[in-house]
Amino acid sequence: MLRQIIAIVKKDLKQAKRDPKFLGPSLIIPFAFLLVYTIMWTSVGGGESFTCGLVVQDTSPQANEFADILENMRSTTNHTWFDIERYDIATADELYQHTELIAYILIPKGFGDNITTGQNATAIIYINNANDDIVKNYAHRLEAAVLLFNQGAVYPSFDQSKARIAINESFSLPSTPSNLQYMAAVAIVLSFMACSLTSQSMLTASEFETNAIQDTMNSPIPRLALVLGRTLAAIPRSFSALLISAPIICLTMNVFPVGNLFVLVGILLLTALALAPVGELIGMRLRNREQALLASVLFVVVGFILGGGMAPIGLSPQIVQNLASILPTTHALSLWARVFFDDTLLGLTSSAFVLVLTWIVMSIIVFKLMKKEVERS
Amino acid sequence: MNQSLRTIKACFIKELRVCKRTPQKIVLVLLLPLMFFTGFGMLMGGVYYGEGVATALVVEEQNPGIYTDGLIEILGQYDDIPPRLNPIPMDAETADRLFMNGEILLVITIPDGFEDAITNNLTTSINIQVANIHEDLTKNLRMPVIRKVDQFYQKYFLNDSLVDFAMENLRAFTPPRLAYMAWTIAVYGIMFSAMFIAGSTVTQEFEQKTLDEIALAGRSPYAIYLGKMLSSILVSYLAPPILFLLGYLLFGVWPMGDVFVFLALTLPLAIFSAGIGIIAGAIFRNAVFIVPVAALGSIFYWITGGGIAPLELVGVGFDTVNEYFPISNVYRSLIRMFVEGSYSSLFIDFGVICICAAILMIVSPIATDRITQMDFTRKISEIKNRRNSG
Repeated sequence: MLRQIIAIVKKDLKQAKRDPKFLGPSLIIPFAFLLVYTIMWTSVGGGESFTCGLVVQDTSPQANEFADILENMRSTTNHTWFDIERYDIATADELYQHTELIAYILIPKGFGDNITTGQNATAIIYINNANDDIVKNYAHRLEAAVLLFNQGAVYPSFDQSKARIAINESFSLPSTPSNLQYMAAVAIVLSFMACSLTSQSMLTASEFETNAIQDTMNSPIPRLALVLGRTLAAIPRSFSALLISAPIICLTMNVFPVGNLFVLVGILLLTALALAPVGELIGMRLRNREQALLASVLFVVVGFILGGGMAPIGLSPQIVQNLASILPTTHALSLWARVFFDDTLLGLTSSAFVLVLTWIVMSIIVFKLMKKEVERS
Repeated sequence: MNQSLRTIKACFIKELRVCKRTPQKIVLVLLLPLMFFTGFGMLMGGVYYGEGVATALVVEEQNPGIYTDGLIEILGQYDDIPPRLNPIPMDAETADRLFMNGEILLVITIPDGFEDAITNNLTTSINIQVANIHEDLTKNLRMPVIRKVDQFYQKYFLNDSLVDFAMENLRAFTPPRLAYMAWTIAVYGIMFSAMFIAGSTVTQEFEQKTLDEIALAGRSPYAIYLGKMLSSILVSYLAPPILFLLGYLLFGVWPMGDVFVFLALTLPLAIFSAGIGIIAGAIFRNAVFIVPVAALGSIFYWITGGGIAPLELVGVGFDTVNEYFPISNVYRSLIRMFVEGSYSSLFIDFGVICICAAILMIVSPIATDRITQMDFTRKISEIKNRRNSG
């Protein structure tokens, strides 16, 4: 039986070598995502591109203290805050009216006097409210400055120990990955998933196109050997794109895994096992290599977005979370993102179990369907 | 009607019939922008839409009073500014387990002694646990808590709240982010559909091996390819009404502006995209490959053109680059019209896209005709042979 398994593995790998088109999407999709995200986060409205004007009309110590908070406050995470640039009121207003300045904060005359006399001092923010996301990003930051001032947590120490209510924050990861680091990490697993799925779907579609599937299924090879052989062949094939994409992504984005490498490889292994029968199902249904390629790409992209590749599924409505939890891509992403940035084994069991279960159930389903197809033909 | 016009008309009708016969194409034209919009809707669902971010609220305070209840009330209050919090009371153990499993991304704990400390003018604190998966998410989770604490200060600590702030918006109305996206994805839909349908009208000639028939028909190839372009332009307008309607049904807002200006700007954009589409079809010669080319190309311009955020937020580098891409002009004017109802850059933007559309309308059919006559496979094997013999 071992010989038969080896023969099937060799046959599948040779076939993949003859038609390496599956490598295309495995490399293009993650790099396209990374390119789009790099543009999005660094240039188009990402956290790093916000700027805000500041007009200080008051010369009191309180106004200076408030301006100092605005200009120097840093988040407790390493998230970049918007740049503050000082303007006179005429320039700021002109830039703002011409939408060249998205927002500016005005500390008006009498700000310090109001505080001294026990009245409320009001800072005013002028916002180009093109959508509620822009308003959110500016209003939140000004609100944080207001709270810091009222807590007495002023520049340079921002010490909250004397505040009536301080905020103690703790985080799930030892350090917060930047948006680009996160995208780079998930782009690696995206490349792997794309490779795993497209290679299997194209292989199966190609066997249907050439009628080789009849020979395979009608051969005297035991069914178990056939399943094991096809599964084993899917593993090295899935890793092939990673040999190119992983080093490039890690080196260019300067992102390296924090978690245990063996655990990460184990996660990829489970992902390949779970996705290979899904690919087989796609190939079997479409029976055309190009259509199988397109369908696999669509499946991976949808699975990636739904499964938390761009934002964790915990943010989605419950019904979407339930739907996404059926997909193996969701569990692969969840395991990968957790272990990539943290050396932990906590909270991995349920997702790992789902991936193994997907592999077993889907393999049985696909194999039965394939047998039926051959019998029918 | 002269022969060329007859050919354009015949080709236009034929391609529309082909589209009708192949519903997969129409489904893709409708489905991809919708999927894109749904994807973003789901992605940002908790932040910009729906009940808000599910937040575990652990109240360890044994004797809650006015301050504890007040804070709980403020945490659960509806907020105009997203993300909204959706506090779910639970015990510390459950909250910890859900947080560890990634099912809950934010935990707020009001510790025991909170009420007593505030009543007696002592200092106290609240604890928050944040899933710091990446910076943007971390920001979106922790900033609403900071906002809620500030609101608590403004309501209950009048003596400590020395400063507050007021907001002055440039416009009377703030469009929801996802409605804004529905409008810009409608423009994306036009670009994608025009490019994809035009490309597939050329690839089908390769796949059905009917290129020779075109050559032997004795008709002007220019007119034939122009007919193909025009049919794709008509089909490209299928998705936008659905997206505008969805934006209205979900968020209760229509884009501002004039439908004629919308058509005046998007029509040359569709011509421009169809021009690129038929050239891409002649190069790739496979209907399947045209889909990712059109989808990715359009996504790229959707992002850099202002689909996610207005061009004013674009960094200096992209601002400069955008000046030289005609698609960005269309996005700029349309976004200004949708959001502000103003037409400040309409003439220049309309002029630029019209010139580009006219150029592609002339050049694309000729270029496509030339490219279809080239045998890439032979050329590649010639290069290989030359390299091997060398």
